[in-house]
Amino acid sequence: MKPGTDWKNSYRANVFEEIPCGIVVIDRNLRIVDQNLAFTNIFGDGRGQTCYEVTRGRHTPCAECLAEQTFRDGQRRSREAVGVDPAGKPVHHLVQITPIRDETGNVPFVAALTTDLSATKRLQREYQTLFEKVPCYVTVVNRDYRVVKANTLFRKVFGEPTGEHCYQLFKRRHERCPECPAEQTFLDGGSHTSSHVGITRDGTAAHYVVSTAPLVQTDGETTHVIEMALDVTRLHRLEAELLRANALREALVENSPYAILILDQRRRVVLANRAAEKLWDCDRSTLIGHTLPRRAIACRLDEIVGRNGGPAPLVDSTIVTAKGVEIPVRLSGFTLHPVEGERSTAIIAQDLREIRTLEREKLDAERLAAVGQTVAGLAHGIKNILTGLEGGMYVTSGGLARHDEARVKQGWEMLERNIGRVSALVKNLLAFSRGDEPKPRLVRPAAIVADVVSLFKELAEQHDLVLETEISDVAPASMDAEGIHTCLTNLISNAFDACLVSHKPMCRVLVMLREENEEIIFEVTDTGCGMDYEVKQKAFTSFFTTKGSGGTGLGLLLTRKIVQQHGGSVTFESSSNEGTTFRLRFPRRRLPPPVEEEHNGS
Amino acid sequence: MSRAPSLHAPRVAIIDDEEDVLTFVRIALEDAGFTVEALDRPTEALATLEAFRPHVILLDLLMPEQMGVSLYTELRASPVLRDVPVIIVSGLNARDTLQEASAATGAGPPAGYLEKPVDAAALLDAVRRALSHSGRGTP
Repeated sequence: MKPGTDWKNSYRANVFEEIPCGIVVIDRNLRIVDQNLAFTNIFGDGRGQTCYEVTRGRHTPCAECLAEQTFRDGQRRSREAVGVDPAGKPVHHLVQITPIRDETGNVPFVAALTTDLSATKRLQREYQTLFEKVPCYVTVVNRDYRVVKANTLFRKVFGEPTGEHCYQLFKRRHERCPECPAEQTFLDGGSHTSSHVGITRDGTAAHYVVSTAPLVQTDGETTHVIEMALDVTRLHRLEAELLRANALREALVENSPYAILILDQRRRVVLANRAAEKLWDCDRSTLIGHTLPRRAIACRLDEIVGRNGGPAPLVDSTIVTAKGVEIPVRLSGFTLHPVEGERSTAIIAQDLREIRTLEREKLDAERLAAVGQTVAGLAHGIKNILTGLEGGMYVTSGGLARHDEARVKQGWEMLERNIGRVSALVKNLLAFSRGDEPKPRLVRPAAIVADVVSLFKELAEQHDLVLETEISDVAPASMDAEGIHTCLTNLISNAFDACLVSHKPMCRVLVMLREENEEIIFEVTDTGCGMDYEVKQKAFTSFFTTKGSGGTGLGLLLTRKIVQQHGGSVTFESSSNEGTTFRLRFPRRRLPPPVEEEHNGS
Repeated sequence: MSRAPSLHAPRVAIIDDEEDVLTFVRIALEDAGFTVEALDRPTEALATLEAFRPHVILLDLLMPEQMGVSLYTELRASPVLRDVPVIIVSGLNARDTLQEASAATGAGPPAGYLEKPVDAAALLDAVRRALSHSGRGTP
């Protein structure tokens, strides 16, 4: 081996093998006579086969074969080509054909240098996809701020750019924006981001966040800038709506006539409105951030919070102010489940002082009206009695003068009857006008009904009336047993009278007790004469009676008074000749609390 | 009945739901020689009254007073009873109610008012006055 030539040949052979670029030597029949390692790695060993078989998988030469052209004219040429590897996968490569000349200048071989472009192509495709599909407007602007390229979304919204300025397209401006991020990028080659308000093609305002980046740099100079504009209009609108909703919520809470408190799980106050300040009689700064004292609300929080997202119950309870004053309130509440963070409890309190006063005033006004009616009715009742007494005296004295014993007896009976009426009137009047508060104790309503009904058993038999009961199992309630007894006695007595007056062959009186929706209901129904319109209108007027001298006209009035003292109501339905139903309703939550048992046994 | 009713005696009708008032008025008027029809059910009174053809009617404005008022307007509308003087006997100060009802139905005012409690002398006086106004003799 000659030094000089040997190492030269050796390194050339090495370079041929090791160069990271496929090299293949092709003869005039387009058969591969030699190939290096890089080529083998891509297309496998193709020596002895034609180049089009090995690189394209074809059986005939390619249409515009570069090698043939170079064999003809000895010129170097290159182009991008897509071949197929032995596995059938496409191979993007750049082919450069170089003639290999012999000593005579002929070209017996050409060398084809192939550079694999697959990775570059893939990257290019990926960038293109990113450019097209990214969910924001991507444009490329030149130094003139004209849009030279735009992605799919941009083209969809603004149309194909035809060299307009970006500010024309985004903002319908005729000159550059005062704070242009693209301009800054052109100046410093860095990235810039800013918010912009644009106008869409349909004329509505659109909000964008625009980021710019240098795209093409030649000799260190930015010639194009890529602009990425993210449409945040919807976000912007949501944010505005959220702000509005928040302002509304704050105003509602702050101006609510009901006191509102929000407590965290450790019972610390996180929100208190103006009404809460007023109700608890303290500045909200002394409430917020502090634990609400146990005594500030008389009932437990879980009593007022609706279960399982159900409606909050209304609980009548009391609160104690910062100055220790107890105030009656109606409470309700609910649990707040935030998306993140801990649960809290909202409490809504309605100050009942005014309502309680109004209720008392209404009751007083009703009593006063009843007193007025009572006085008018009393006068009428007494005048009738006086006429009866006058008549009794006239008949008696006439009888005495004529020694007519029958007439004396008749007159005497008239006197007796009317004196009896006076005493009954006075007794009932006293019962009615007594300001006695009821003395409620826990009693079983069914026991009262059974007791009253037993008193009427005998009378029913005497008059051939059917007296029936339908008594449901009602839990004990706080009631004045004597008062309820009086009410039922009055109603059953009225029902009996209605039956007797009707002259029907068989009348029925039904006494019912049941509970519906926390309301205890007593009902007395008769199939007697019923009431016509006029009697119905007068049913609760004192001293109105359909029973002539047999009634005082105070029974229903007294009944209503007792029922109202229990927070209940009296209603009735009646049809002339068909019968009447009287109904006493006692909502449990309005019943007076039971009075303490007295120890002296009185 | 202390005296048999005379065929020629003036006839007086009384409508009141108070049994003792009816008895008193009936006896007092019969003692004075009148023939009396005493009725306690105003709703059924009209037909009885038309058959009885009274010379004077005594009417209680009963509670509810509307029942008495409506009977009054019915009496004024009846061809048989239209001109029979009606004296209102009532414990109520019911003139206003009655006048309103009379005006509304076109019925004239009653012949007189007697306020309870009423004694026998005042009762007879009022009945006699009503009869003399209508040109009818009195016992």
